[in-house]
Amino acid sequence: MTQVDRISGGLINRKETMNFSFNGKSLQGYKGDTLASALLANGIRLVGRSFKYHRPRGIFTSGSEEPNALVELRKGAFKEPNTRATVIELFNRLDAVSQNHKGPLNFDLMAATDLFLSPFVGAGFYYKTFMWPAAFWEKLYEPIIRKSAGLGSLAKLEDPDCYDKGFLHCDILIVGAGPAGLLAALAAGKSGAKVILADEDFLMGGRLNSELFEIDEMLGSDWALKAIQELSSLKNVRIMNRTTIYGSYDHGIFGALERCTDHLESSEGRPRQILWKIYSKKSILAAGAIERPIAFGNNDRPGIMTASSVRSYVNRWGVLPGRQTAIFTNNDDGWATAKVLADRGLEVAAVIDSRNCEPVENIPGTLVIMGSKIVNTTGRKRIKRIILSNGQSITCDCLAVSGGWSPNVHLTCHQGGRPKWDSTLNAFTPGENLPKNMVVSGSANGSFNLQAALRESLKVANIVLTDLDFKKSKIVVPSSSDDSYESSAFWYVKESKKRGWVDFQNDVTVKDIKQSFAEGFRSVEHMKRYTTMGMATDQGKTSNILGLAIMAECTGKTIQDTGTTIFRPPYTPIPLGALAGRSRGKDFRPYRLTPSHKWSEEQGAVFVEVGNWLRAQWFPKKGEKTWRETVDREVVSTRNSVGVCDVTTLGKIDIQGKDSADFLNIVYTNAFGKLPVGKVRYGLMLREDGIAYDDGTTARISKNHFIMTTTTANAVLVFRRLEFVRQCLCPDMDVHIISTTDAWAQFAVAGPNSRRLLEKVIDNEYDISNEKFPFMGCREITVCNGIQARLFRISFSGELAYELAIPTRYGDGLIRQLMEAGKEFDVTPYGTEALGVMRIEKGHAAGNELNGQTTALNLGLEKMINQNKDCIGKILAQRPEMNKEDEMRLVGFRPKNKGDKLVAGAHFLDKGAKEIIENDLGWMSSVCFSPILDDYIGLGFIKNGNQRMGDIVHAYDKMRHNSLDVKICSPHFVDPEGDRVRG
Amino acid sequence: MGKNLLSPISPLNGYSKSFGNNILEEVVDYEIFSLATSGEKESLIEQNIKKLFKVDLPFVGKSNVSENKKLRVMAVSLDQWFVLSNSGDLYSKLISNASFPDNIYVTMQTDAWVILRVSGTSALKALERICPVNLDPKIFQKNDMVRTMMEHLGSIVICEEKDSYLLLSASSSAKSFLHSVEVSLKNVI
Repeated sequence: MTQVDRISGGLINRKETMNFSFNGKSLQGYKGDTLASALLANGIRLVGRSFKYHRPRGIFTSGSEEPNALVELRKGAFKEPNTRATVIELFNRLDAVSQNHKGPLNFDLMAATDLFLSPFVGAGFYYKTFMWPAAFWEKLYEPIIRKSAGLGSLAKLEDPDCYDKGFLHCDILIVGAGPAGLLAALAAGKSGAKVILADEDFLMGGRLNSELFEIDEMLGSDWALKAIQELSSLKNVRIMNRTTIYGSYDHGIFGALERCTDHLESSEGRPRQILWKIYSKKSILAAGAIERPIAFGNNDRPGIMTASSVRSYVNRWGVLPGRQTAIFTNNDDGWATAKVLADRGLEVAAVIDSRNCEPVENIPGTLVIMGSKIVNTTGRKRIKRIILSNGQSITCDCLAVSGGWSPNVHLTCHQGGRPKWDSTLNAFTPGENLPKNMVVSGSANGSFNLQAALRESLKVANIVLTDLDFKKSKIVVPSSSDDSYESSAFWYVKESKKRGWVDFQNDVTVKDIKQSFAEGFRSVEHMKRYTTMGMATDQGKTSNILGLAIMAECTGKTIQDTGTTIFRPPYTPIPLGALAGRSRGKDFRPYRLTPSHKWSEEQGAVFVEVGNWLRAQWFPKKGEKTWRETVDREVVSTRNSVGVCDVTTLGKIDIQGKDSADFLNIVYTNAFGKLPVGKVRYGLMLREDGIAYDDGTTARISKNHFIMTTTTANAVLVFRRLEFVRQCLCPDMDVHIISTTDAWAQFAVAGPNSRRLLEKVIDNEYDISNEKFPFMGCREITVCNGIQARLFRISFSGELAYELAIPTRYGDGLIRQLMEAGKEFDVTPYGTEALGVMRIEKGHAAGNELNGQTTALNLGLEKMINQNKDCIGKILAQRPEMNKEDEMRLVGFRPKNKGDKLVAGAHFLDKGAKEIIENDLGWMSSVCFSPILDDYIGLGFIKNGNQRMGDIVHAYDKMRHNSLDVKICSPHFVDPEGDRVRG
Repeated sequence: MGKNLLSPISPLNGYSKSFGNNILEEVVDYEIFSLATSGEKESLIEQNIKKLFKVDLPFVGKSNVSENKKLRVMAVSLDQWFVLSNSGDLYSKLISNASFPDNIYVTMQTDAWVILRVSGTSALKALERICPVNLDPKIFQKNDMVRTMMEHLGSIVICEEKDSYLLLSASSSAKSFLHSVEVSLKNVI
């Protein structure tokens, strides 16, 4: 098909033909076309179906405010729905299909909705219909509505494109590269400021590329091109076309989406889009204005578009939207379209101006009707006729509608600001509460006259430059047209008997808005939600003002008093992929590896995520069928001989200073002042409110040097807390802390043969016999012929155990050395699961027990709160409610019937007690299968637990249908006397 | 005593790769240790540091390099400094020195960090993708340093010279850190 509606001129490159397809049909356009302009050039007017009523729809605008021409672009995994044809740059082999129709676009079966069902599906229909019978809702109505709802379809495949993010800093961010933005950028750039100039279009210049204005006696588009060339030569100016500034945030920060490869056939591995965070000292909003339509009967037919976009298609893209174009306007600007068409020798069927005034232009040979309105149109798939209020009917194949201009105030309102109504312009303009350091110029500020816009732009730029201590620009305001702009407050045609469309994308009509008022919705926010006006992907860019004006008329208030709804980012839709950036798949978040990770991988370890860490969970051996087999073996082997576990992930905090012991006395409940050098002590920390916070061991390396350990989960939190205490609570103390978690690889070596194994790697001069190195000792040693290390005799497993720390660079080497040296003892590597089983067998509390609800008393650690000193949390830990006689206590549990499976999370009730909150005695916090006892065991909290040893209670777990009787026992299932750890 | 039985392995095993005319490499020959002092007068701290390391005490956000270029001291907070040294085992010499002042506290940090050097004409552009701090050469100059977050990882950025930056981050997440810088370079060249 040839480009039947292509005319001469335009800012396109006719030497570069682009082949594309729409709905399977092969078509051609040129480089510089958008999909919309190319479709129009090929004579295509019908491009989609409306959301609710499936009405035939055509291209309505030429910019990002487009409500109708939404297509699915690209195929397969690259498919993206709801892409506006007006902003898609044409590229070779572009493939687009129309949306929202069942059957072909030309014959949508769902159009029956408009023809037969429209009386039943007006605003808020779902509150009134599909109610009876109630049972039909879930089985019939909802599935049908769901199937027909939604716009576009997803590929349901992983997005193969990659995205990126970044941070930019500038002195001045200029939003919009129309005449105001370009002039401001020239002024600022030449004065030496660091400038970012961003525009959503691929061709900068704004309306200059669509109009025939002259600036300094050259065509506006040529002036724009020259300005951009000049700006490109300035090193301090960053030009970002294809970049939408989508949001304005605190402190001069803006969100921007740069489309890097959307205009190309393939991204070829490069990021498709970049989400930028732009930090600006000042910003100039020169984002222009958006033309409004007028609502009248059947104003949504294909071939009806905004008057300015008709000019865009003719002037910028060399496309003829219609061979007989009528114009309907309520302001001077609509006449510009008539003039452009007439000057090109193109037929203007009629100009209908709603105002009773003199014609603005002399358009020879054109029917001009002042003070009249259009009440209806005909032509289902393309407009054929307009019908006026006096009954007159005029033939046309395109209708250009101009309802006035709305300054693009979005970014001024993203931080809660509200625009103000200007009754001269009949538009909202930026309000008083602009985001900090933002100024507005050009038509975004209501300066619709080009000369005024340029003058204002330079003035504003100079104010900003002065504020930033740059010299004012020496640029002179260029000369240009100085036409006036008159408009009228005319929003919709009352005389229309047919439905007049306000929000095209969500199919909201004048009638819907009036109905919402009649049903009691007075607030504009309620009207919005009830009718869904302004809630589609275009966010009501062409509909909001009309809707507000109709609402104001209903309520009798002014438009100012009616107000607007809240403007929220993003200004235009952002792909979720861009928001995700690089956070996908394996790199969703950073991961931390232990020093033995590589070795563990070689052993076939199964890993578990513990926060950001990857820890070996268990080490399956060949032939083992289940994880339980593996874990049972690891536990038994460790308890019978020796096991090694990488415990590097536990937090390590280096504490030094003359007051470090006093500091520890404040953060721990128990005293550390008299801890001898070379000894380790278990410590408990409380929160300020007396709840248990964290536990760990702290070793005294020298008089003023301690090493604190924390749980893995709380490593960062405890460190932050210590810094807070150091800086804010004890600023005069001589104490300094630094994290050394990553600096030391640390391995637990546990079991009856642990000493013998370690003696093979520790250098000979160090005697680690029980006499010379008793339980809870620590010392600095060397291993493997002189490598600095630290040895701690502590035990989480309940066995004779040590933790050996070595600088991380030797961690991989050490695990290999330990395994080699341990062969004669059949050494077993064990993971977090076996670690967990052994600590439960021993009765050690861990994160499940220190869960933010429990106290030292609950944990059986109340005696650790030293009465002779203060500590964080001590006062509030003494509250009577936390120290009741029947307070919950940490105890052990076994199933009454051996072999029954215990489940953590079950709640305890006395036998026969009703399962209500009032009878709740506590809960099971940790459970495992103990291979040593050959039974399930658990730890948990129960009222008066320490007085109820041997009692049978009911562990109630309705959610998992696993309730059973359990016996209360000591939490120390293995080695309760502690002989093994001290051996 | 015989030879050490264990071989050291750096967090990225000596990684080095070119991206166009840019180089990304792991720096493995630095010792890092932290210094903190008790509540002494600033002039005394300065004297001690100058005496020990022959370099002036830097302000927060700055680093100073010794004349022989083997040592860099950077102020990470008001009362804490990091020393990067390739003077060969300086830490051991310091702590075994009997006259080492007892009001200066030292902690070995070498193994806690991974150091990357990114250099080349696209180094700054690459860092724009992950570093929220303004690294414009007019503002972030030679020997300036800053603590920040890059791709959710706590980091230190040091400007060595034009188009050359040292990046420090936790050694346990070295692979993730490397990946973020690699991807940045790939995306800008």
